[in-house]
Amino acid sequence: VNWEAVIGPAAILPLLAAGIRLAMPIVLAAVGESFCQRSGVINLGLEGIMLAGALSAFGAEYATGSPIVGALAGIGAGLVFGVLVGLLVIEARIDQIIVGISIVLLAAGITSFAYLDVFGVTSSPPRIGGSSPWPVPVLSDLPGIGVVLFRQSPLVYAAMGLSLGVWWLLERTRVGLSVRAVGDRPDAAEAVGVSPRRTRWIGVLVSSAMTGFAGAVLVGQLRLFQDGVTAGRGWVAVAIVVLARWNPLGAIAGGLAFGLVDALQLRVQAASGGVDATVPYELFQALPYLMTLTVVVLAAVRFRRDAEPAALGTPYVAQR
Amino acid sequence: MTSLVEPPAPPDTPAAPDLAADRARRVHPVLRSALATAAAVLGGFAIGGLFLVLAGAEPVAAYVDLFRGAFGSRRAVERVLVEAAPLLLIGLGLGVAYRAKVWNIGAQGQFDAGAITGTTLLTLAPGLGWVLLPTTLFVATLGGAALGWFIGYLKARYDANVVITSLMCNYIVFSLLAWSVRRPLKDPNGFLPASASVPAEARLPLLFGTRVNIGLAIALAVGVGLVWVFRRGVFGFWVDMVGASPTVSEACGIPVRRVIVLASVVSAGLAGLAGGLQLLGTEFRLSLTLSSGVGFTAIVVALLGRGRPLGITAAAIFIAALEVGGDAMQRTQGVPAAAVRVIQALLVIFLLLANRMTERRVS
Repeated sequence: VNWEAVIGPAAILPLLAAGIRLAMPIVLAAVGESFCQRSGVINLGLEGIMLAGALSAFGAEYATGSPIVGALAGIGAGLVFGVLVGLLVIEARIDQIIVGISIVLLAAGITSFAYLDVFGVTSSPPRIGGSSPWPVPVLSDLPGIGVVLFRQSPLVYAAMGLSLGVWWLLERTRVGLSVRAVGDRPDAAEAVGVSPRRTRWIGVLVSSAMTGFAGAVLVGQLRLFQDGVTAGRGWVAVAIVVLARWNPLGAIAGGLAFGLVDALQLRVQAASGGVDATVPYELFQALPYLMTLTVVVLAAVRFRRDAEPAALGTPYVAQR
Repeated sequence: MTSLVEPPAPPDTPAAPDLAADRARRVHPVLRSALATAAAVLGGFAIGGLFLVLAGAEPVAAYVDLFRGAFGSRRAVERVLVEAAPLLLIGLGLGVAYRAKVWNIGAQGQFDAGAITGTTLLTLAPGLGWVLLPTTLFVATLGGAALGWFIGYLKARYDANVVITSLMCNYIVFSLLAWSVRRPLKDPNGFLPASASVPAEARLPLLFGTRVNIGLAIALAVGVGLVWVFRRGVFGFWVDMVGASPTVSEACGIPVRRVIVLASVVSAGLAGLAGGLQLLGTEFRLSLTLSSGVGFTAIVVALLGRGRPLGITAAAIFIAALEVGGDAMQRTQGVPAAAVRVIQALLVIFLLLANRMTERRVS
């Protein structure tokens, strides 16, 4: 491996920038899921919701040429699935794990079906313009940090802002206090006038919308759609929520770590000589999943479960 | 809470409710679950029909083609049975895991792992004669079961989330599969990334002059075994107890951790066996397309069958018919066969809803 080309002085800043870019879909989904789980609901279908967001953003941008319309379509698809999740989990009180698995299967089927029906099987897949970088005036000229943070695409800025905003909402506002109360003691929250049902709907819809947006950010970077394009990012996001102990800031950090490993493995793969390399490229492809698995195991071994919302996964029946 | 002792009736209360009439009004549980399933199937096909309309097809004609494609000829029925075998075997295993609330969704990777270890044996020890076939199946089962032990142990010992660990293993095993068919297990004389062809003596025999291999018989035998386990065996009872409440089970002296690990090992081992059967019975070489997503489709089978061997058997044949019929529908109606994936997922969701509604009516 030509390490100079991967983490040499000239390569390190672009590597960090790429890491942040690749992290954004996972950061968005993980922060949204933290918010949702703090209200007591496991929205396990992130992988499927992200797929739906990705396809609908791809289709909308393909039709209109506008990444903004694409992003809105991604959020819209997320909300549609969010309503379905809410109906099944909050209203019908069906097991949240089974619902999550079903949502992934449903979204995988719908996206595969819709993409093939609209675009068919082509030798070269249709592409969209995607989101191009928009350097922030002044800030992008800062040494180091300018390249890493401020020469990203508008979708990345939006994703960063939204994630920090949701952290602030959850940890620093009255709304967040209600959400956290409902996740720990829904009966007590209801007794002081906070509706667990409404609060959990907010949690499910926020996480679904953010995950749909994550899909839009993803296709904005890849510029194409294919079956299973999310490649496990939704599942990784769910894992990160637990690792980050339900703290959105931790989820942001975990997502960034995942993005960095992804960026690193892509570069090592390219620098190690592809098909003929002594270290097979499949190992690098498996690296993000190996890392997630290792960290999940380590976290399970090391951490106590005291940060978990007390009522997580338990349906609530209104007392009044 | 009902009390065992009837309180004496106050003098002027109306007559006690007519118990016989009440019992008659209650639907028998088997009939009730059959009704719920029928309603779910109707709902799934109705909403699935909307997708077909959106794709510009005539839904009734499409469903007729789907049905004919699955049952219209002897050849079609044989194909359905061949496709049903791995779904049945994996679904039976997942049913056991799900009854213990071990949410193994990594059957895809466990299936691939079985196929990889099976192919490794075929490559390393080709000259075993008739012993080769059973040994390959055994090694394939072990390959899957090893993964199952790993995720089961992590859950039992450290309460690691099985959904995440089993799914991460899917991706990791797929990378391993991609590497093995490109490098160590690749057919040296071949051009494509695939292993050498399975030798004739290791291929699965066919059943009574049909094109259905004995994989189906093995899957059915496993199903019969599981019926016995859940009717008579203590393990089946433990699985249901642990699924209902690990804390109560613990208090009753049930070895909860061992049950969790074993449920995980059984489900993954059967998925690995299915991988071996697919290798020796239908595909005859290891390649990236060996599984065609059967490990995920089997999740639908296990959920539709509600974890019960008989239900899973019916669900496996039903889902296999959908898959085979979906291909026919794609040819005649020009709509993507992925439509059946949508219908399958809708079926599960509608069945969950139907179950919930009938449950409420009873309580």
